[in-house]
Amino acid sequence: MKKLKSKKIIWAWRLILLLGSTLIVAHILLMYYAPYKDLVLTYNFSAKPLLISEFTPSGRVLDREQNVTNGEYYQRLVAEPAYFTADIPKRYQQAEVTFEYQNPEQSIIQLGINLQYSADQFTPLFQPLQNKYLEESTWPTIENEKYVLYQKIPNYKSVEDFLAHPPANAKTGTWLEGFDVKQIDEQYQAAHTGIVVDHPIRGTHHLFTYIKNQPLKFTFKYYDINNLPGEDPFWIQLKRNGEIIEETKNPDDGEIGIATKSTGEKTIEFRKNNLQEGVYELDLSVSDDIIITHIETDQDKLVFKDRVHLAGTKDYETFVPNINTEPSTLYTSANYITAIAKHPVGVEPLEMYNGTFDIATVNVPYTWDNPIFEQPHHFTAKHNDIDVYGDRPFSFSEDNWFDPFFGRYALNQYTNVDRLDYMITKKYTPPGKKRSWYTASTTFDLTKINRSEISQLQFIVSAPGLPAASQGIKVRNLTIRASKPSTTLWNILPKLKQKILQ
Amino acid sequence: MKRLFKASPLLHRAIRELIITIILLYCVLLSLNILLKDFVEALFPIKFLGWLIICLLIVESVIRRQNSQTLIK
Repeated sequence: MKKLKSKKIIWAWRLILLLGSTLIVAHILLMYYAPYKDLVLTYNFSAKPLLISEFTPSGRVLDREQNVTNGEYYQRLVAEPAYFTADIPKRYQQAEVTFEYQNPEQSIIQLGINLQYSADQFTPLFQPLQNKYLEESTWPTIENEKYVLYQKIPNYKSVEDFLAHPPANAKTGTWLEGFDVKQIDEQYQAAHTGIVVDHPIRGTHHLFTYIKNQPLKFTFKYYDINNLPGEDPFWIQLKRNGEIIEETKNPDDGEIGIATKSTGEKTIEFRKNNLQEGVYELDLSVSDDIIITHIETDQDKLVFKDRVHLAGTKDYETFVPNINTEPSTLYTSANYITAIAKHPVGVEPLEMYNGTFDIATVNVPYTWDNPIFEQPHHFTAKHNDIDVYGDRPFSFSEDNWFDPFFGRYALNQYTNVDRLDYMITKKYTPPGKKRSWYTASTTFDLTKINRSEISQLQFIVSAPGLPAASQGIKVRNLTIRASKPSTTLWNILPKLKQKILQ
Repeated sequence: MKRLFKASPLLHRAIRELIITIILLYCVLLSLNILLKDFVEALFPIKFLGWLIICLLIVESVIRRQNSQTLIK
């Protein structure tokens, strides 16, 4: 009798185990294939989420917080950009991302997705979340299928007309699109003086120059300091309107470990003849192991797009013999400057035209804002060793400075819209608002993403010009609804056949 | 410890079957994880299953020893 009872218990136990295991496997398969519904991932910040990561990196994002009054959890973004990932199988073709957030200060918030899965490069496609400038604008608008043009004075009758004949001396705020047009400077005359920059800079930089009836010629001298693991090739791409015209690459010096010593000075030359008149971009895609010590060009205009990492400091003397440590002066019309000291030597006040800009700690971003919109100014870093960002180009000499965008700049927190003449943007639906909480959604076409077989999607939350000491953006809910064509017998059979044939 | 895992052939058998089931589930989930490109790993704590197996094996050995001592007595 007792034996029979034991047998019954064992069989019941086996049934429970079998059912439990089957349920776990079935749940995973249903989540992956979701044959009858969309895959919905929700993160409400109360616990560690499944399939969605927390916002990173720390420093730009604070730890999760709880509202003691109502028990709600949220996470605050205090600097930009912030990142998160979501595991969505490749078979899903579209993802609608919905944010629920409080935003007391920030004018613009946008969400990007990484188009190219790569460990060392983020190629984002941005979509709108919120733009308070557009919401509050009273300017007349015209639009086509893709874009909306806001005009202070309605000079243009169509968006196409604006894109074909952009204004020569007007200020235009753009959002989410570069709107590159092959514009030329009618007044430009080459002086053939050439430029030499001897201030060391570190890592990736984007340069702009202007060409008229002359070949493009650049020489870069650099050191590979082998301070980080991995190869350090020197890769130059010449672009016009975002299109690559030519590229060249110097290979790594052969030292891929952390040798903490350089293998000597290297030189790379870049030359291109028969270029049409206009602005050209040189992308120097290098790792932070590369210190460029010398830039020489036959051109007369040379600006750095939005970042200069000054590296002329004694800290690099062991890698770069006789490194130039002379103070560097940068010229710009940036409406804000964010500076990060990379070592204790870089912790120094910068004298701006309206007062002192204090950089008090290593590796913490500090922001200075220009009290006058687009007012040209300059500042000197006595000890260099700061990474400088801004929303307008930088140059090492006043004479070398020019505006490669002809007045068309992306809107950001520091834009003075009253000083603009036009705004041109992607089509945008303002977020819903309930009390102080906004709900904004945006949709991504996942078929455009090159992620081979990897199921992880990488997102970037950007709030251009988010002040370093702001209240930030408080996110309490993040929902991703991934959808795909419904699975039916008719569309699954050809796919199965294809898989079998592969 | 001894009092917790009192000698019981039934409990011993139940734990053994649990271990076998979890090992099988672990193998199935690992294979699925490879097939579904890390999707399972993001959804289900596979590593936790590995630790659970180790813990259960320890418990099983304690019970086995208890059982054998009871039989000797």
